[in-house]
Amino acid sequence: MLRRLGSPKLAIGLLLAVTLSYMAGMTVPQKHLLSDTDFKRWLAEHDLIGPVADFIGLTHFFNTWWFGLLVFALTINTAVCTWQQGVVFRQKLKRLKSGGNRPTIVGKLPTASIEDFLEWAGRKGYRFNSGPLAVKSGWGYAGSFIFHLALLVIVCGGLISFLFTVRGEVQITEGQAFTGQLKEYRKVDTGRLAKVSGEPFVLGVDGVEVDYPQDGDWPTKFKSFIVEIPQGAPVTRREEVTVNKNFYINHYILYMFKFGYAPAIIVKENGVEKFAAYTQLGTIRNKSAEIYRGNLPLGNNGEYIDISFLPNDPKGSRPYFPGNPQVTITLFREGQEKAVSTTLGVAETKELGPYTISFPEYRRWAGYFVVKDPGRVWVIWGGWLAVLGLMVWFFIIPKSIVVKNNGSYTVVEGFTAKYPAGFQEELQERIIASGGEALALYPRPQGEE
Amino acid sequence: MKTGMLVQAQLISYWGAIITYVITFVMLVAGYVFKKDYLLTKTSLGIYLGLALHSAGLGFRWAMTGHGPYVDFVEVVPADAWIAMAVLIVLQWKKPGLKVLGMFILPLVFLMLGFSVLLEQSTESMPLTYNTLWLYIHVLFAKLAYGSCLVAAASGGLYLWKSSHRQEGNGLLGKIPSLDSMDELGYRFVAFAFIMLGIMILTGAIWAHQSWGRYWGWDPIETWALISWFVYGLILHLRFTLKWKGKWAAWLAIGGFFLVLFSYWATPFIYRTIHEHIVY
Repeated sequence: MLRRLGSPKLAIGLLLAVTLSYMAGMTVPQKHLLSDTDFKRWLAEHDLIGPVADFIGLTHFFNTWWFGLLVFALTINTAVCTWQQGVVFRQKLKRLKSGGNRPTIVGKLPTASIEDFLEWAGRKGYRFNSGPLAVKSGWGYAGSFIFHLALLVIVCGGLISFLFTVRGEVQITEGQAFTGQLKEYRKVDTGRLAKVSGEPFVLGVDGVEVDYPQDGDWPTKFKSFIVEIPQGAPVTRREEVTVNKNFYINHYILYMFKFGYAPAIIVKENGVEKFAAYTQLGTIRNKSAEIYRGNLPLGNNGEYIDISFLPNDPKGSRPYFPGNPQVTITLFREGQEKAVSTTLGVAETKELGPYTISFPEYRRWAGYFVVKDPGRVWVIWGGWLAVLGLMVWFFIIPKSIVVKNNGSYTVVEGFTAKYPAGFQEELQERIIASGGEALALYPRPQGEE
Repeated sequence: MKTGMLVQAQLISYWGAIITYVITFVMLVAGYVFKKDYLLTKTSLGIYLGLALHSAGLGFRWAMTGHGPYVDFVEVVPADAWIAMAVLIVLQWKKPGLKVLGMFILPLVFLMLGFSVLLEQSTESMPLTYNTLWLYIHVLFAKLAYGSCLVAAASGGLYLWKSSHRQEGNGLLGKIPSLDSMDELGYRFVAFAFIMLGIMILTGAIWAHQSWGRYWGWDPIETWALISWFVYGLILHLRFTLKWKGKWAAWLAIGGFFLVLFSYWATPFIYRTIHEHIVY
């Protein structure tokens, strides 16, 4: 039973099934790569195939029970196979050490040359500890075992990530703080067994900077400065964070991936403050334009204001640099009916319909992925272990030499499983140079296995 | 040099390389078909000259964009073609009998290069996520992987061609190494491709983790790269377990190569992928 579970033929079948599942899944759009609207549109456009593909899970195949079952079966197969590979490794090594293999090369040495030969073999890495046999790179047989073990480590890491990862997005305005509470995230995905309940740290952003080339508008770098503020204590850490340069704290990593503007907007109605905060505006940035926009519900019969930030108005050639920043605020009534619009410079206050709007200042905000993934270490180290296993499997070739004194002459036999280039030639050359004779036995005569 | 001049210099170099490769290919075929050894000898010169022009074209592009050939299609395709030529040169230097692989590789290379010169020679800004050492490591192993897949497939093609003829004679077929050698060569490169693809995926995962906070996102290119790795793993399992050698192995190596080509080149045109170079 156990042998069947770890059989290479089962591995081939399962690998084929997993590969075909991947391929089938990739023939239809994947839900997680599309917005809800786009996905629904695709379903509507493919009214025959779409619902069927979605029903059987092809649109999210790696999250389906049947794909999980296939991966589980492949994992069991790999686990048993790994155990078997461990047994095979020990058997092969034992056989190599006992000289039980068929020799690849045999030779005869004059007994007088034996010291010379042993010295040469020692220089080449063969160790004759006790007895006539020396083994070199015996651990080369462990390659397959290491590789399969590494695959298990990777699968374990994947499972840990699946269950325990927290991955959220936050936007922090300059001068404001983040404490890891659920409400602070704009969006958060958690593993099945993970939850977000605040963290024992307070992080603040005390600056967002953008670098530009001398002759262009396209940012060459944007960066922010994160400070760690222990409860009631002064700042203990201040680090620059940018793309590929992340901030590490308590198993969390913060990845900066975007930035934008946050004008401070104060809205009053009949002298009573309805709203006063920095409003993080969404940024649409492409080669030809930068648009910073957002909207703010006012709560009166579906009214809301649309806010556009103009960093450099009238528009200059380098709009990222706020030279004369202004905001244009438009009041919309229910049903998206445009009512009235006004533009304010910094520190200005104007009337907008029944409201009084002030724009005292603006700041920048920085967008971060906030990630806690305890499985990543397993996956990455498992990956390196897999690479090591493959390297050992393909490039480290176990070899052994047996030297037996036969009275007037000495017999030398060389053993190796994979017939690496140069092994026979090297040994043959040495034996002949020592005044002996040698016969290489590989390639084997035709018809003989 | 101004950008316009660099574009011109790049195109002239590429066209020079294409013409040289085409002439070399014709000489190679004629040399084998008409058994003219002096033509075969001269092909080495053509290959070196073509590669020199090809390298110059890549250099001009590099000078123009300020970064290596890894950002957009118009520079990635000629760079991959360059790798294929470099692999051919190394192989025929190590084993002169493998010069015949040029009959498969040269047409592929001049078609790739021809395709790239017909594209718009625009320049893309380098995405900020590319500012890392992992870019070079990932790209290096990707190129090594695809080069190995190409050689494995070319060996498979030669194996099938040779095995479909009963008599070798001393013509073209006689110049191709023995079937066993071609099978062994194909196997070695499949195994090497498996390792290189594995390292490519791993370094990509580490880079993705550094840039985006996740090592795996089921992005189409990631998924197709994993499929390719699985397929090469399957080819090796089939060889070790079911002893699928010879013709089967040759067909599998060729199929694997087309799968890798699809994963690498076709997926960005079919799917929305994060590998379309996010520029913030």
